Amino acid sequence: MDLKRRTFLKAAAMSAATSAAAGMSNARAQTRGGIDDDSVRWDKAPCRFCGTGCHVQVGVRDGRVVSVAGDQHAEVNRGLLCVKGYHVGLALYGQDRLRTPLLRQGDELVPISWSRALDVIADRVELDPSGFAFYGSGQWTIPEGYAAQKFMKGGLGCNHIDPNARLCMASAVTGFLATYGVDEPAGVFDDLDVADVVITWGNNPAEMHPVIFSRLIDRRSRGEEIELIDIGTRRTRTTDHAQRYLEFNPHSDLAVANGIAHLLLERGTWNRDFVDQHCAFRWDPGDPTLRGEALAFDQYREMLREYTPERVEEISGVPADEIRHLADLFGDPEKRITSLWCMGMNQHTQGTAINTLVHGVHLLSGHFGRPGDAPTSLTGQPSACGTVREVGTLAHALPGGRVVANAEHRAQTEEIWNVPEGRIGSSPGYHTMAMWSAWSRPESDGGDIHTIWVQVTNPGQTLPHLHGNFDPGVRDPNRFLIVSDVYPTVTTQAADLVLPSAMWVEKNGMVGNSERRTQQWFKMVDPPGEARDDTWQTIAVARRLYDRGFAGMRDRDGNFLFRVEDEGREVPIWEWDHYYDVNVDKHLFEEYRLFTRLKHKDLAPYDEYVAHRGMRWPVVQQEDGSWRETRWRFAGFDDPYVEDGREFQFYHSSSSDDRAQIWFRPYVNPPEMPDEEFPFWLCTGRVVEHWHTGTMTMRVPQLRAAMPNAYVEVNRADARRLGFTNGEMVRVESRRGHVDVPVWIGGRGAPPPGSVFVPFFDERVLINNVTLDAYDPISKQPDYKKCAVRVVPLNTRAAH
Amino acid sequence: MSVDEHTDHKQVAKQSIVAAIVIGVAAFGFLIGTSSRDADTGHAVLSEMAASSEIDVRPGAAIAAPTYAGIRDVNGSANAYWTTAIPIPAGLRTPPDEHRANTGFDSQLAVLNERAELRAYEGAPPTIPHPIQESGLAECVACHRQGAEIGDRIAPVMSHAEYTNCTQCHVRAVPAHAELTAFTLSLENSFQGMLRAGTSTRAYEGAPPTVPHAIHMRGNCISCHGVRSHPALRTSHPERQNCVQCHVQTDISRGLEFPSQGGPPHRLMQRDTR
Repeated sequence: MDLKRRTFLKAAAMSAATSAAAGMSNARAQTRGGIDDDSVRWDKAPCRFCGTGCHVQVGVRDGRVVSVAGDQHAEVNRGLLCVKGYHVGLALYGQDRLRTPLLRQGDELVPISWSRALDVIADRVELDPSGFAFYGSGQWTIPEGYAAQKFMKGGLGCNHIDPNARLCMASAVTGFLATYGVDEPAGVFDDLDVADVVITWGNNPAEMHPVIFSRLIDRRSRGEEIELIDIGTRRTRTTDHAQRYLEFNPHSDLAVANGIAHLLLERGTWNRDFVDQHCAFRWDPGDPTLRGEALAFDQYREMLREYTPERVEEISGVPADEIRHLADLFGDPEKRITSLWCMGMNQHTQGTAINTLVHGVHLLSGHFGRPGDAPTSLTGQPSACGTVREVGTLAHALPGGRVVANAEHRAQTEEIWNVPEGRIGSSPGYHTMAMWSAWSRPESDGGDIHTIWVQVTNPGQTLPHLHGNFDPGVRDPNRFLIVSDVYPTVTTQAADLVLPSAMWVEKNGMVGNSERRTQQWFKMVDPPGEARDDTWQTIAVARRLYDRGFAGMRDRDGNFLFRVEDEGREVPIWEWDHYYDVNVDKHLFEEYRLFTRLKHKDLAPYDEYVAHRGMRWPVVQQEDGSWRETRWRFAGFDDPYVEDGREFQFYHSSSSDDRAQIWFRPYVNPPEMPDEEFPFWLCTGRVVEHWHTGTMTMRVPQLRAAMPNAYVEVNRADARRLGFTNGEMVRVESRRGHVDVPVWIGGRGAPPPGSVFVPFFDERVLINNVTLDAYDPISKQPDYKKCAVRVVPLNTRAAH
Repeated sequence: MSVDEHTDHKQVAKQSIVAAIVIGVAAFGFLIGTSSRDADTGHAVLSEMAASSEIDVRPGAAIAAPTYAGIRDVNGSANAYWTTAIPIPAGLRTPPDEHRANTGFDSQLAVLNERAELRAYEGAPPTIPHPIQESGLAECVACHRQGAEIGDRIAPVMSHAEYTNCTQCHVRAVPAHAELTAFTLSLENSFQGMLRAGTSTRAYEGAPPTVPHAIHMRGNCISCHGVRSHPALRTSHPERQNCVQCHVQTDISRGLEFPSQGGPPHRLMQRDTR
């Protein structure tokens, strides 16, 4: 370590351990233009926001972030960012950052010490560990989620841990599991570099995954031909770039997918070789399940028979010729076809069904596993994959694709955690919807969750049907809410205890993006005031319980569950002053890594991620000792776990015969549809400027100025009929609640007649007061994309 | 010749090739764009230039390399070893020192501050100071591909036209519809961005200055330094198209200076203070 670097580290007051790790890195020296000077120091980090996983270069001076640049060495984004990414550094510096723990006393939140806060939480746990729940996030870093997972399932012996990702990609998970027997996409973003046809299914990547979208459409600047087909319920900025826009009636994407499969069979253009060798058929004769029952090919064909192009047009509104065109494309083996989807297919009461159907179309046509041929689900959060799906911070799951219901999986987990046999409960805990329901219902009505600890998310704004699931007004007064966050939110306003957290480059972190890429960064600046890492918070509570004699926080040898040793001596990482004496992230990650082999999601050692801008699992060590990432899973030419000589192998097949499952799922009506009283469809969603609930981005002047508040997009014809003008305040009202919001006609998106759209980023317009809390029976993911509302002018209302 | 024609590198390159073929002379670099019909008049212009040049152009004589500062005086003249058919329009032949005479420190500071108003930090994508259509593709490129003049404003030429999803990075500086801002929310942010990328340096008096900022996403130099950009940022030799031939990127690790209160950096544009 040279003198200059040492001087810097001293100035930045970084810990010895972190800096030692920093000195190891080669990638870190490869900064923009070789910058490594005394005033601005550049380092790599993945962007804080979406699941694309762009890498940014962060410029730090005098302990503050002063600049951000797209990382030209990053494979994902190649130097480009989106407007949120360019302004991510500003998200740290909103003036109302939470700086001290706050405890509710009457109507007020009053500052308390960290020590007091830890005691308050320990008291709540000891009240009854089985009624203590943890509500986490796809924005948790991998070590944060792993610590929470171990705290709950290994420490409290309680499985009530679930993340906000339940609201976001649970149906994608069940879609992958039902189809391939193992979660997460087989393809990668590289598919977009070579695909001939890209189909966006209810997806608006131009605003939600802009860098991925640019990676695709900017190929046109190089003279390449791409056919972009947007299948949606509303025109968006993605539609602007598409050759074809197929507008379907909400929920009828099921029929569209079945229509393609039907034509492939009728025309004989399905890929017989691929299907014969690698696929089987499945359906659910009774209640919806993940496994279903085997189905003969002839039965499958028979079930699809009714989905003729004309019948599909009748259900979906998509012209029969457009269905035929889709079938033409899928029937052409020369084309490379990638499907992209995100919330449109996931936030769907038939989410598992539509996910499996789109996989099915790709498998049936053999558009799978060659570069450019991929059904690829995008994630909205930076670590929905890394932390939720891989670490398994779900009520039914254990790390590395294990489940609590499996005795062998529990035993493996207890072994790695070194906790007594039987510590981990065999019944799944409450999923998100059940958890909040059990918390908000009185005990007399079966509500048996007394406390929820929320980290890195804002359920007071994002749960569907908020009046039923969150409102402080309806909840039992004995309920307790603990919230770790970086800014005041709707959720912290309802909290009993608020903990100030460090964010992004104020702490070490690791995340996993949509293409199985695990990424790492180091702490670069200090958090404000007494804000501290979420991982530290979890470990400090665990230690407080340990000190109080709580048996669960001891392992088989009587040691602290989160014991970290340095040269044989235990480091008191539960004391904030010593937390960065070692790299806790690295310790947690190396332990977690032991879990990742079972489902062939192998991760490399921590230091490999220090030296790379992410690596895609399975990352397998080569004979020469180097670590090789995998791009195309299940494909013999790239995936090291496919047996030699085989072109494809679905080696986690749920039918145990290396086959993927092609499902039949019928079109069914959604649970709520417009009627005379509530004549409009309501769709909710995001905008390019804001990250989810706006907690961070509404504090960035450039982003807030560009998009200062929510609005309701109304079709021009509807607006004319109802006499609405631009900017007029209206009430959007469902059977469950209402919001008052200005009308935007001819705005950014264009809903069809009979349909309106409201974004959910604005905490002053809680559109989830209006949404429906019906959810997919398999994934338990609710549907934010369709419910029935009416739109009423407010002046008219006032006159009544 | 319209300046617009200079703005497209491809066009320039194509025309250069045509010119070279027609007159059968290899024209290396420095081309300002022309067409074959200019070839004859070009010879005449160049003869005049050569006649007025102070450089010894006798065949066999060693050619004294002009200094960077002096290169403007040479005016791209032909000599026995290098000829070109490309006339330099009088309008573009700025007297050598006019550029610097017009743009002192204050002028440069003013334009950089104006730039900074639309950016969170040096290198951030600028916000859009005018209304836009919220959807559709054509309206950005309609003005920003060529750098249209609208009233007294010039739409800067895109420096990265290969990126086509403009609103991915550039958002409105003010909301789309004033009447849509139905709710007030005033939150302060204490971020202080890097105000400039670095300091331009010269190896010696008269040497070409280095590029003080990253070139990534700013590869089209004339976007900010072209003949129709603000005089303070404008090149003094617009006829030269291959900017990075002479101007290399500064090691931007050096000389970064940040004022503590967000004011302008005090060592801005060092070359003018010499």
